[in-house]
Amino acid sequence: MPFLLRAISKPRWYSKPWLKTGKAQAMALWDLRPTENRLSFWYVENDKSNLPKVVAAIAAGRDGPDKLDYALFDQDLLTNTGVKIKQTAGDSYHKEADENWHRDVAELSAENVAEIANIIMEHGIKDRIFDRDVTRLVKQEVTSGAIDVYPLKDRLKKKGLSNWLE
Amino acid sequence: MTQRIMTNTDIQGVTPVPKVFFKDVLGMLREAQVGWFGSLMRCRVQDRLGTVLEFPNIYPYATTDTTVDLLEVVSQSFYGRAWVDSRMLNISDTHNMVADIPATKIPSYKPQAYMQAEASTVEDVEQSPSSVIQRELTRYVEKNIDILFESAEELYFEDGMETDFSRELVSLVKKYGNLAMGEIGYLVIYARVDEEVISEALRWLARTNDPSTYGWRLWILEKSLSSKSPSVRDSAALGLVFMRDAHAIPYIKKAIEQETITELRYDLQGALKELEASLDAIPATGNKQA
Repeated sequence: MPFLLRAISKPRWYSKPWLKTGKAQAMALWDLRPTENRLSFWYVENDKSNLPKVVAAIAAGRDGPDKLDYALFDQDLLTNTGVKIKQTAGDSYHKEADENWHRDVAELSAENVAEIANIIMEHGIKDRIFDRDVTRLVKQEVTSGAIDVYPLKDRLKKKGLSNWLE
Repeated sequence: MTQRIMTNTDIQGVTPVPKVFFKDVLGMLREAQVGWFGSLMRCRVQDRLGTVLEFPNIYPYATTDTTVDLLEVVSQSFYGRAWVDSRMLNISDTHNMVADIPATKIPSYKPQAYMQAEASTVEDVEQSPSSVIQRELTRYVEKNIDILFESAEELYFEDGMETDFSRELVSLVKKYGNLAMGEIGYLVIYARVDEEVISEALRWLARTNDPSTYGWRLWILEKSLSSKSPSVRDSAALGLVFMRDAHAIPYIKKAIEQETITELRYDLQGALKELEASLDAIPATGNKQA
């Protein structure tokens, strides 16, 4: 049972007393903003062995260290809704992650997006990694050479930000 | 600033003596008799409907050795034709110098951060070239902060990413110090703007490396743990984790006890665990009081 991962903000997924169990609040849609009717996810293995690398891939593109909230859910739940899941190239600077674990769910209707929100709400694992651990994971991948740090450093420099990646 | 003005204030007309209800630094509900000050002070309060009222010439003050959290004060005053229960927004003197500080009296056991916050306010006032300039500056800063927060309501915030809002917020805090913090505190504590904006602001306030406002920022974050908004409560806890100050631990513990949303209680517990672990692991640097 492989998983799909999407970065979220956990408070947007809290249950509300006025909501039916398993239904997402409207604010959850902020975390599911499509680009050209497409949503991007990361594939996570059954045993979650690649989760640290996926987390590092997502976080490395940020301006600075921060916590990472994510939702993890069974890929089959999405397949069962009839949406198309395609493996596509990621743009995270983590070569292995970009080549193997990036997924796009395309041709989405508004109804599909709401359905995905409710799947995540009802079946998803919502978890948080604090900034200290996120930073550690990113640095680990930079040290191992898995993350190409040079373009990221350039990006930080152009934005006038300090380099937190090494 | 408040202590300085008190010294110059003529306390007269102490009867009738109203009571002020407040929480002390340990969070205990207390009450104390207060006196009426003379004509040198005024306070700005907000009634239960959110209307801001100006009260000329009156100012509730608690007894010595008691900490009064101004934003917690519930003052019952006769205004117009009725008694009004109100919450204090700030105090100003006849020159409209605003004393937006969390406490009027700092006892010896008060954390260093709070003493420092007040000291900075006094210093700021003493350095002002004139009260007119000070008043204009206060209005200018307040206006800029109001515009900044209002315009941010259209923005989408993403973890770890800077925005024009975060950059400008940090810049205003560093530039205007406690003057900026007064207005930010008002907008945050009284939830005058969108909760997403407040949540984002709290996390950047925690990250701002500005020792002169450390006490203010820590206080706002601790205070925000009891916000009505779950998102704000979560961001307050995250900010406190980032500040790595053991002073926040009892506040987070209290927030955990009071939290009714299961998922948020879990997140607050995670924040507490992370804060305690980070205090054990690495000494915090940079973002500390002067």
